Amino acid sequence: MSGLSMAGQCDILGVMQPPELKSLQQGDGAAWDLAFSWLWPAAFGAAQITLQTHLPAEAEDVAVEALEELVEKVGGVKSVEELRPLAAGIAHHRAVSRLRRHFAVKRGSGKTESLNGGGGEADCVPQETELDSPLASLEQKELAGALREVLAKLKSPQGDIVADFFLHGLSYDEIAQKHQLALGTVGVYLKRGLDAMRRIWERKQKKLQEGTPILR
Amino acid sequence: MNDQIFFDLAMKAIARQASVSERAELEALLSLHPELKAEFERLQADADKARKTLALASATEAVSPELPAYLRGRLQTKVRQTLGRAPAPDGRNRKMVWNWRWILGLAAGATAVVLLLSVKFTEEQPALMKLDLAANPHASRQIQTAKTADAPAVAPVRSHSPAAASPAPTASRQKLEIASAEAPIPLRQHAAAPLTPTNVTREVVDAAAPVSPQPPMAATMTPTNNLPAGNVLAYSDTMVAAAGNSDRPATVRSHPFYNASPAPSGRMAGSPPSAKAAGASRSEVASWFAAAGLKTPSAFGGALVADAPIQLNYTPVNLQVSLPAHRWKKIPISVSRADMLSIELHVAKGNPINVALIHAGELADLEQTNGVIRSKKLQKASLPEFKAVKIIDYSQKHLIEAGDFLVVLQDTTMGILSAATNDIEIHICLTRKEP
Repeated sequence: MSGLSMAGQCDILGVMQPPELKSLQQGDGAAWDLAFSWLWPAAFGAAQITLQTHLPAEAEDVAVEALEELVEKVGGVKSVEELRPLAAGIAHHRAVSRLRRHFAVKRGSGKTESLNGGGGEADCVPQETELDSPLASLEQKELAGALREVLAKLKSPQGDIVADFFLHGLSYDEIAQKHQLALGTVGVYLKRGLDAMRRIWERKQKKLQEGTPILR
Repeated sequence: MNDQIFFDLAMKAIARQASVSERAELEALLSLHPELKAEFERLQADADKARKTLALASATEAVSPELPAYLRGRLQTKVRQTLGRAPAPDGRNRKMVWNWRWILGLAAGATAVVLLLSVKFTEEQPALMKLDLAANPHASRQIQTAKTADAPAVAPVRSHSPAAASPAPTASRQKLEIASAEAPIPLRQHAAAPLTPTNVTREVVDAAAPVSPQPPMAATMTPTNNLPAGNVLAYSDTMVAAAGNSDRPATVRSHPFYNASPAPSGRMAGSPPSAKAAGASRSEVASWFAAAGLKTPSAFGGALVADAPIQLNYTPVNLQVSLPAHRWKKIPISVSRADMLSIELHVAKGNPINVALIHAGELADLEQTNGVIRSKKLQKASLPEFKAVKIIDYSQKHLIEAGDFLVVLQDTTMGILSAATNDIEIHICLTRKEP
């Protein structure tokens, strides 16, 4: 999985080492300057993933707003490693909100939408279930926590195989060839990876429903 | 049914990677096992979530693109607005800062309380000395004190308070006026100054300030009527006793003259200019009294002696005493022979006080080194017929043997929530016992 393997790249690069959390919480401008460079890809990437279909031009705006919100919430963070998932989570939520407003305006503006699904604006409006996915319902910190857990759980080669299938759209055969695995083994990795992620989601969802104090 | 086979078929179908044969196989399975339809839908939802989760996770690990330079300023502004430039203390340091604030606050509060108490105890006591002499048609003359340092002082005022223990200022700030009956003129006497014949020197009241020094007192003597012949004037820093030969009693009251205005420094008009501020002889005082048209001090029955008590000679003595809170004062009286002693007392303003009558020699045993007298010990030492606790009005009459006694007044309150000063009226009278 290219995305998950980037963690190692980031460490190897060195220039993207995270600043000290204490410096950030004290409002050290230099530390924040470094942090913004380090956090920007996460925030922008999360916003872009959500907005690329309908509002790709607003990804940058959403990302910078997410970092501004992160500045306000840095006091409640316990480790600097939480910052990137949190930035991504905030950006994702903001992007979803932006999409909802966008389509709410479109629906409420009196524009005629095709009811037969023959193209036009109606085709661009995502399903409610898409915007109201369990990920969107997770609080920012819960989502950030889920992302961290997923990254921790899906070690190579499982993480890479899952990412290749779900993110990059590789087939069973292509994955087997890429990772030099038996064709039947690919399915086993996928099933285990999906089960692991399901357990993480269920745990986060349960925690959210129990009203555990969370950082919003 | 093999779960893994179904999972693989479902995943391929969801990812749109299934071949025609695989789709047919999946449909056959779903038709044969309808319960798998729910599982298929669940896998569809999970796959969607997995895709999004992995996308976000991937973004979390991304290292590009770079932050546009034009956004840095905006973000730094947000940092300054939210967190400020100055390094903010972390939670632990903030807690310590608040702890220190608490400590400093408590220390300031304690200091304020101590200062407040100090002010209370050092507060100057009112010391109006008012001589309300009985009608005497011969004494309607006025004696005006002169501004002189060689006023006919008789004896220095003594006080048991620590401050008063220091030497009294030699500069006399006294003004003696004996007014006519129609227009009485106040007779003023600064207690810390050397005594004059009119404030004939005797320490009547003793004030032991247990906490802080007591500043010198001042007094005003106002003959509200003609000066009687043969008066006995007893004086102290806060009180004067007067007893006339006439049937009308004399009243003496303390007054805060010292603070009211700077009394003129000088000697009394008609007084012997050579008289020294302190230690003037009785003859000097007597001569001055004669010059002033008053009875000589000898008529006072030895009352000129500084520590001499009030000689009770069947003439009522009215006293007005100002007693500060948390202090005690003594009124020395001398009974020449066994007779009936009557003491009436009323706290005109202030707190309930304790009263005791003790032998003069017992005071040294009662008084502690810091000047404090414990109320229980005082009551225990008192003649039982004359002791009283927390009274406003007091009236006792009992046979008493000859000797020197002390009427001790004591206010045990702190004077913080209670009154700071008590104005007490005392009427002491010795009457002949029934044969």
